[in-house]
Amino acid sequence: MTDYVIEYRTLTEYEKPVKQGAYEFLIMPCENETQKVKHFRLLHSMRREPFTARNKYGFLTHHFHIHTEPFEYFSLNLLAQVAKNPPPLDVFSNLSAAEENAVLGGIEFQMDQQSFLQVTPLCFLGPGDFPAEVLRLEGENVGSYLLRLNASIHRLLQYVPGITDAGTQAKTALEMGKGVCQDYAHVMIGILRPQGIPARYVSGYLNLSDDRSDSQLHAWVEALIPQVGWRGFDPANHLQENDHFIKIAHGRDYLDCQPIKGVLTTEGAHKTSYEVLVRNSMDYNWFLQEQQQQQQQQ
Amino acid sequence: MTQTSLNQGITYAVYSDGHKGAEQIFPFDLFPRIIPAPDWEKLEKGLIQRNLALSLFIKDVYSERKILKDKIAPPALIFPSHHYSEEMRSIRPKHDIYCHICGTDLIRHSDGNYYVLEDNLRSPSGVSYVLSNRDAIKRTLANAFRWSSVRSVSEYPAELLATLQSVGPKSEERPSVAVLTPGPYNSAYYEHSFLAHRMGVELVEGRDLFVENNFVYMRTIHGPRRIDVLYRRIDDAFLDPLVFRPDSMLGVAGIMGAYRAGNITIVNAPGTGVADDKAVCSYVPAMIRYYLGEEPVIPNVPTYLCEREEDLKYVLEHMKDLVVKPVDMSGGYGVVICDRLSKAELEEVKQTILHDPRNYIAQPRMALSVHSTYIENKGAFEPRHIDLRTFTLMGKDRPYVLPGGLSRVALKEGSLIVNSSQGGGSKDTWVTV
Repeated sequence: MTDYVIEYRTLTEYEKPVKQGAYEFLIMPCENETQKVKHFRLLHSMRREPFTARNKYGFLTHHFHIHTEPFEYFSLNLLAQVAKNPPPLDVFSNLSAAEENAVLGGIEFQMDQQSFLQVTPLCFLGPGDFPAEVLRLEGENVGSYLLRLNASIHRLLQYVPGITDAGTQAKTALEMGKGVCQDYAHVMIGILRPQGIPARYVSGYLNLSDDRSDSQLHAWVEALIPQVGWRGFDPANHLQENDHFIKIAHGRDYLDCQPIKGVLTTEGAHKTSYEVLVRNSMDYNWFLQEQQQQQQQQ
Repeated sequence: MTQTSLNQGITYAVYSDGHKGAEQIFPFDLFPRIIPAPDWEKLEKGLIQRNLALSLFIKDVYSERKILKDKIAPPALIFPSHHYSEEMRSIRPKHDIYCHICGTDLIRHSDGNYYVLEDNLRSPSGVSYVLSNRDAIKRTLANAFRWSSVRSVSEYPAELLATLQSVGPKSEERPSVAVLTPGPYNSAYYEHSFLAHRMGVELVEGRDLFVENNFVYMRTIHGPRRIDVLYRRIDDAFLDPLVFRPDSMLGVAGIMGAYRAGNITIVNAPGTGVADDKAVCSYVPAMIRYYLGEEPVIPNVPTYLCEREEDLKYVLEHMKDLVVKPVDMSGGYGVVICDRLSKAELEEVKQTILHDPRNYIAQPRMALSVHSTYIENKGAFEPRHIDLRTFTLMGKDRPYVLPGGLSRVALKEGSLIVNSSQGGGSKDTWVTV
């Protein structure tokens, strides 16, 4: 088991005071078989405490709805300690490719997984948009195919920070041959879904083993392998999901996993900055000590 | 008569390039349409049956999807629809009721039978005209009305309120109800204010509401007041800017979270539009057999789905006898009656269909029944085509069908399009006792 301390910091400054605003944050690590949130603290500049709600896939969102006091800036700082166990890496079923196809082709399966089989505008790709060799071969098992595809997409795109934005479509990223983690994920999804393999977009935090600081959230893909279950693939880093990946949420594409959504009544411009830090909690002893002190006080 | 309508403020607005939503009066013809009791009894039974099946269908689409798994209806009919709502996959409305208020459009064919033209399951409008028309008739034709035995329509607001209260999120209390309107510039604003007033509940706009801790509150001078049931007259896309269109100024940020948490009932439920798509309409008889094990009481107008190859072939070969409609528009917008077209126009329509077959259906040009209608500039009664918009309420306890409904009449000679937005008028509908 690995213990992480995750920090998500954001600050938005507004030129003119905001009279009313509603914000939804989707930044809290989720809880599942391989990860658990041990402690968290949400510090913010608002006078009102947030409330939580669930989004359509059951993930926890934090809401700030401000309708009384105008404000000129909004800062939010999430500090969370997460225990992570290594997720399973096996991708091979005991089925033949033909048997896997029978599962994928079943109407029951397709109707139950429809959300993650339907192509969305962000991940739509036409047959001519990518080289034919990235498609699944006849007789190829889904597990082997996913490993191969993960490597292929890693080669198809060059990682260039800042080259694309939140609204960039998979098709555009492929044409440029460049993108960020989100584009790698959309491309992989856009190739998998039309072949009948359910795929979902995952947002989360990635612990980079070296000293690079990742200034943004990470994105990867989960695909459903017959008999095996959902497995995570990170085409941007050519990795399978391992215990360095801390998941926040999944959805059909980026739009279902936007970390911040806001609806405001204001005039004039605003400026937003983000920072994301993931560290092994051994380096964050002060954080633990502080937690302990708090508990003692209670 | 015209002056009476204007004085009473019974108006609607038309959206087109020229005039931007200016209020117009809805022409009203004094000659009532009469439906004999036995005919109505059958229609009432058929409407309840149909809307029960539609509600079960919508629930199925958003939960188990048995009708799709059993291959009674094709998935291609559902998921590409603009009105399919992924949000509803994880929400079960109170008492499993999705369509609390349904507006089914019927026509009477020259064979004497009624047929269903389409279902309106989002926010069907027109009921306020039924009530106002009846008031006008009572005033103008007081004697004729007194001696006729006509079923009353004046219970509708009370029935609507009872329906809304029966689906409150917490069954034990008396829920507070409000009507959500997009505002005075909406074509049906008259109806929104009319219904709120007659029910004795608040008429609110999105900016009057806010969400705190997953409850919806209305701002009042006495402080926030919780709303339990919201009869919304805005489209799904505008309901919650945090979930649907972020530029919506008409909705309430966070209301979908409150809905998912079971703290408010939204009427009709979001996502019901998936079943009033005109292509889905042709599957309603199959739904009635599948969910209820019954034969449909009221048949459908035969419908050709252009996405089906054999239907498309038929449509392209028999264009002259057909009426072509886009599947996802209402109010008579986009309807093409093909026998009125020149060769070039016909070719253009064919190309439009071929470009996106999923988006079009075609129906035979039904010989809509005609009814005597007073034509002002001729000073005489002349036959005009009519249809009937019915109103069915589905609450927790029992369904209610408004006796009669809105008879819409095409005032232009020979015209088949009765929608108010396309120059139609209305008549009072008398169901005999």
